[in-house]
Amino acid sequence: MAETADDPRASASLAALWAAVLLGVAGVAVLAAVFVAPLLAGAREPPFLAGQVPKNSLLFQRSTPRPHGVLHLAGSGTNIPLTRALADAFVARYPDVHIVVFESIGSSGGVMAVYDDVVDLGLISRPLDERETAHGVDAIPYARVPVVVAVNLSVPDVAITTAELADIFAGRKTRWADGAPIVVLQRERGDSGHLAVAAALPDFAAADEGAYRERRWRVILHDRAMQEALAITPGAVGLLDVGAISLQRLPLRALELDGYAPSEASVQSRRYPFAKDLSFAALEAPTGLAAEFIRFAHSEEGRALMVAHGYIPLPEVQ
Amino acid sequence: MSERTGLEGHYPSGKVGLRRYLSARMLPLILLLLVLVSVSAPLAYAALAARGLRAQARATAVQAADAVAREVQERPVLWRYDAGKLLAHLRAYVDNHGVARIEVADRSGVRIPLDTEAIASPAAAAGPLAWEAAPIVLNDEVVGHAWAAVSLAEARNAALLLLAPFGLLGVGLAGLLYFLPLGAIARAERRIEQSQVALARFNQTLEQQVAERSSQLGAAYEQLRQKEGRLRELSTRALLLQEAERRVIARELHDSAGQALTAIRINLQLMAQLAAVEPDSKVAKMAAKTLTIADATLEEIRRAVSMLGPAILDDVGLLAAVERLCDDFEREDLEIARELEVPEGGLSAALESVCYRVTQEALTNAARHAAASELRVVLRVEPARIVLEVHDNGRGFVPGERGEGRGGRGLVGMRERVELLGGSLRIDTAPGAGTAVRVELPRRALSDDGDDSAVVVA
Repeated sequence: MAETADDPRASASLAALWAAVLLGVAGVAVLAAVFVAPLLAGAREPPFLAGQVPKNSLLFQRSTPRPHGVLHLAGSGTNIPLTRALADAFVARYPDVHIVVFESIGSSGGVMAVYDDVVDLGLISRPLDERETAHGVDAIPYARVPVVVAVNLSVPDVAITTAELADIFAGRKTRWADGAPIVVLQRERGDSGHLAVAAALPDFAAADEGAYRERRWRVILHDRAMQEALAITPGAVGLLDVGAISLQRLPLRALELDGYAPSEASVQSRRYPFAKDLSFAALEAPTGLAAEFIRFAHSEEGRALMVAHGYIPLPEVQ
Repeated sequence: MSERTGLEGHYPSGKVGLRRYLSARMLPLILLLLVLVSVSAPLAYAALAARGLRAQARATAVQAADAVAREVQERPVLWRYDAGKLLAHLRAYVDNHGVARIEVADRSGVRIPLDTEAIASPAAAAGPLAWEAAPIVLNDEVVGHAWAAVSLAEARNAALLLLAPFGLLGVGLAGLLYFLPLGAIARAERRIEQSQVALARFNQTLEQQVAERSSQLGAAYEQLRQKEGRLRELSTRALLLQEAERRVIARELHDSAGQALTAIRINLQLMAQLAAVEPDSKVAKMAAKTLTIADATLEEIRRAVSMLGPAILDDVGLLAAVERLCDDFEREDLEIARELEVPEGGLSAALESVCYRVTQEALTNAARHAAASELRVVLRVEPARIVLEVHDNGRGFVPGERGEGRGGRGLVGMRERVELLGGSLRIDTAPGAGTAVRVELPRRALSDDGDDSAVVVA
């Protein structure tokens, strides 16, 4: 009855049992490998062509051929009103020339468009970062514009302190002088206006970052949308450059900050602390029409236009 | 201890071995159970969770692709430079749906640079990512792909965490399923072993009892045999006494009555001769008649003497007596052959008497009933036994059928006499095949003292 070591039939049946069990375990392993492992397989990088593609690669032939006598500009929404005004003046002087200023694609988009040779000049409202400089992109500053705290016309307040500004963005000050609620409109992270204010006012930087993190305020992605939202939202407050209000005659009010209006004098004396520089971005030393346009921006006529709309002209850097 | 060794020696299988047998077969099954219980649920969970996450990533990719597609429609050339800002919108998806990263590639598969820090959620830092893509379509043409990635770390870690409790569950179940039946089998095995030991002990006791009973039976048998021997001895002595008594009576008849009658006969003969002068006289007639009666009486006495005791044995010995017996029975139509060997000193009186009487009875039967033409008498004395055979070629008979009619009494008497002396009598016969009577007698029929002769002589 009992199995003995030298019972061949019992040994064979035991071996068959072990084989079946090992087969079962192997089956589970195969199931796991075939059905579960592919679902759990992942990678840090997406599985499409990754990494840097050489500039001369066919893949980079995405610049559209541009006809002679046409200048294409694109970039930060902050630059667009002034640049369009400059373009209009330039075209008035040289009627054969056509200048296309595209809708905002942001400073970063402007730099990349120049890098990819999609536009002749990029428009940036913030300093170039190291990566962009490393790509060989140069910034050619042409104007400085104060960043203002713009409010909807329903707001009775005409002045504000830097501390109050930080309190508003931190959510600590929620009412205007007449008791109406403050509606804060925030630009996306990395917006040049916010960067300029944050650089000058650390309290604001902290409040702004906290607001992003907690999604405290509505975030608006483009200058145009920001202008419209501020204009139609009662009690709205947001950061905007003064030139946009002036050039586009927007129904908005720029508040005095710590008693100073955003004038050229107060900005130059640093009493009004918030300002940003507007620059052209070019891959190489611009030539032809682009160089002409840059020269025009730095010309007397161009500088007069800037001053007329609250911009501070910057000298041409050689 | 010695008893235990003895028992084990009696049962070489010793242990029943059920536990080992069952254990060897359950071990692989238990292993399979352990693997299945431990791995199945975590695997299923990992597969379902990964599928869910991938579906989520795919849905986010579709939404991102739609959003980018609208931008592409408005700005066919410059969309790619503003896509980063657009996709910052999708941060909501990233945060709400656990999507780790969103990437956009153009139709050539080149990544469109986005501010990845803005779009990647902290989950992106954890482990490998599962990527799912959705096409960005403009006028039925694919201009790029939106890719969304989810972190699989959570699913993996959860599956690994599940492995612990399910592994424990598997170990517990496997342990229960292994040790419960094994315990029961071990108990049963112990009982069987106890029963085996008890059985072995019982067997041993039984053997002892059988040996004791055998020894008792042997003793009883020996006692019985001795009693039988003594009884046979007593019977033999009784037979010898009877034989001796009969011989005495026969001698008395022969010596006294026989002699007297012989004298009377002689006188009667003389009287008849004297009366012969006058043969028709009454005396002569009377004398002749009386002489006839005397002759008849003498004949009767002679026959009685012969029947009562073979005095002839005393006179001439067994060999001559048997010869004479044969002579007596021999006739013209019956020839009797003899092979008779008797040692010089003869045999004991009892043996001679039995041999003589058996021969006499056999010859009588053959002469009366067998209608035989030939008879053969063999008497052979061997060192240990005496063999007596009487063969005839007569008509034979069916043994036991008509025993009474054909000298049955005589046969029974023969057998009794032979058996009283420790011998055997065999009759071989069949109808038409003649009859053979064979007697074997041990030479030392009586006790060694041989005092039977004295009895017989007396």
